[in-house]
Amino acid sequence: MGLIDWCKGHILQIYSRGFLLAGLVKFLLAYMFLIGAAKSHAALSHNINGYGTIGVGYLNDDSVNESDGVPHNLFDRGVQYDVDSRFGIQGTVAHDNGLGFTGQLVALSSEDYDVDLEWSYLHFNYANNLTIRAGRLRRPLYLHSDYRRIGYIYPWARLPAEIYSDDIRFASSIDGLDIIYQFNVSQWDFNAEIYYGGTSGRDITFGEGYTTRDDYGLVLDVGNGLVFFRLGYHRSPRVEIEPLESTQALFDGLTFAGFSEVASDLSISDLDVEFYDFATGITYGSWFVNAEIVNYRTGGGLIPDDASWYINGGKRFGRFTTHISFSERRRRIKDTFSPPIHAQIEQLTPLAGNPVVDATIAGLTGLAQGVKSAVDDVKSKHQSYTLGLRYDFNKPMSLKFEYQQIHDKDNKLRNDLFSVTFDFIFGGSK
Amino acid sequence: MIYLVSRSTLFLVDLNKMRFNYCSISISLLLSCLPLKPVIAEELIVITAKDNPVNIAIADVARIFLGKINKYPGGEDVIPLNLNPADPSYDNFARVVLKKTPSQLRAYWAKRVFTGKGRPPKVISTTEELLELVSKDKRYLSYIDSEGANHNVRWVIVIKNNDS
Repeated sequence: MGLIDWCKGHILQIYSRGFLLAGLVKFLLAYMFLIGAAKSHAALSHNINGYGTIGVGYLNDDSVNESDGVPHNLFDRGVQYDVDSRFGIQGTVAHDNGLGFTGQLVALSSEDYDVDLEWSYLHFNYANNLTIRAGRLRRPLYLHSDYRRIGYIYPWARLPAEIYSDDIRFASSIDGLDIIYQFNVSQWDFNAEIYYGGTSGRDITFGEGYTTRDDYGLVLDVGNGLVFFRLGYHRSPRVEIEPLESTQALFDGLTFAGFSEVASDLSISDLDVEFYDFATGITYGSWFVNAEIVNYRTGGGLIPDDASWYINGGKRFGRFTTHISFSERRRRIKDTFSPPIHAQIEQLTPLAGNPVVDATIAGLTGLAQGVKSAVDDVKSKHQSYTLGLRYDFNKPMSLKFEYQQIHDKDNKLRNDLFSVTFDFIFGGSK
Repeated sequence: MIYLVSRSTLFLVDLNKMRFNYCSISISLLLSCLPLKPVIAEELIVITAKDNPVNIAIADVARIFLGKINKYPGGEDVIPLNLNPADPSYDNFARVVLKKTPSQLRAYWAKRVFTGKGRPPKVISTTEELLELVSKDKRYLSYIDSEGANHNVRWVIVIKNNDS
């Protein structure tokens, strides 16, 4: 499909989508009302800010994406315009006394430009040291998590997929309360952030939908302009994932056959997930190096644990920035299911010869094989090498060229991804 | 460059009485062929109200303009004001004091604006308005190039401009 056809198709899609239109209209009406209030009230100020990315990518083969059932990225084989492209718009109305409201709408090409209200919160700023936000917020899980939509900010065409993927979508936002305290000790600037909330949504890699409660996290970051450190701990103690039809059928079958305990162990609902994050970086003149390492543990069930990291370094030459990165993800499921199944088989083996017992042993053996195969399938090690070039225009826009080699180390597969993205931001204060 | 100089030479070679003008014209043609640099004044001045006796280090001025601190060293409130981004001193201040390129500064504020963690300093459209505001309220801290500055405001720090 040519570029012109793609443009036509997408513009038609955008303007014909009821959601987008309705969403935009509601947003604009609400905003105009607030601006009207702001204009007639000297102490109120309002801003509109926005951002976007237009991107095209070419993936030579999707063998890595297909290899372990969970795609490494959102690309299919060939040229695609609807993975990286996205737009966002944010409106803020604030009073001089520090209280304000902000809403941010986002439309992603990978979601057919369905407009989502990703941020919608009241905020209060006290003495510039303390910021309190209440409402819907993006969760500050990892270093770039809460601004991941704004391509203009970071050097890559897209954030390292080994860490910043949609697999943990259930942990990407909260409806709740967030407090940030900022202070400094001589040349060091500290930020401490703590939050609490929950969320729900649909369309998750491992299930139909999700609901979380009592999510919380703590982030501490410190920097002196030259070097920075970031440490984060987050927990989602009560994650309920609505299983996919196929998975639910498996659980029902197991329960019916008398293996309800195994079924509940395998169950992916009711998870207690913990996230650990450490990031650091140095900026020295026009050189920079950054690294981040993360770990999340899903406390069992069919959703795996991940340990991932990346290192990125580069140099700025006037308006050009070149950079190179290496990233890795090790994924595995902690197998706590096989032992009880094998124990049952051992218990029954002395009674073999009886057709019912034989059938049960055969069933259990099949189940054990199925579980082992699922665990082995999910166990994976992915690595990516990325080379990028960024050009910054005089205006707030940038153009990025990127080449990425994606490796599935276990299956010895390699795919190449080429991308070009154009990022921009706009807006200002009034 | 040489082409233009030789053209002017040919044009003026017959005009004996214009010999002096030939020299100055060819020199200015030569100079006009050099890459144009934006006209930046010699110095950047950090300014505040005349009745504000504060002493402040450049590093703290930078942190005020990056939203990391909001008080003068003595504990009084400070409100930073920015020039219009179209003014060459805006980029100059960013490079020399904040130690960021224009795009790095935009990315810095975008991170904060789109996550609700802060807003850039207020922008004042004209230098006249800026000088007026700063002279009236000692909370205001701003900067201006030496050409545009006047003495209704207190010159807190004078920053020599290095070509970089």
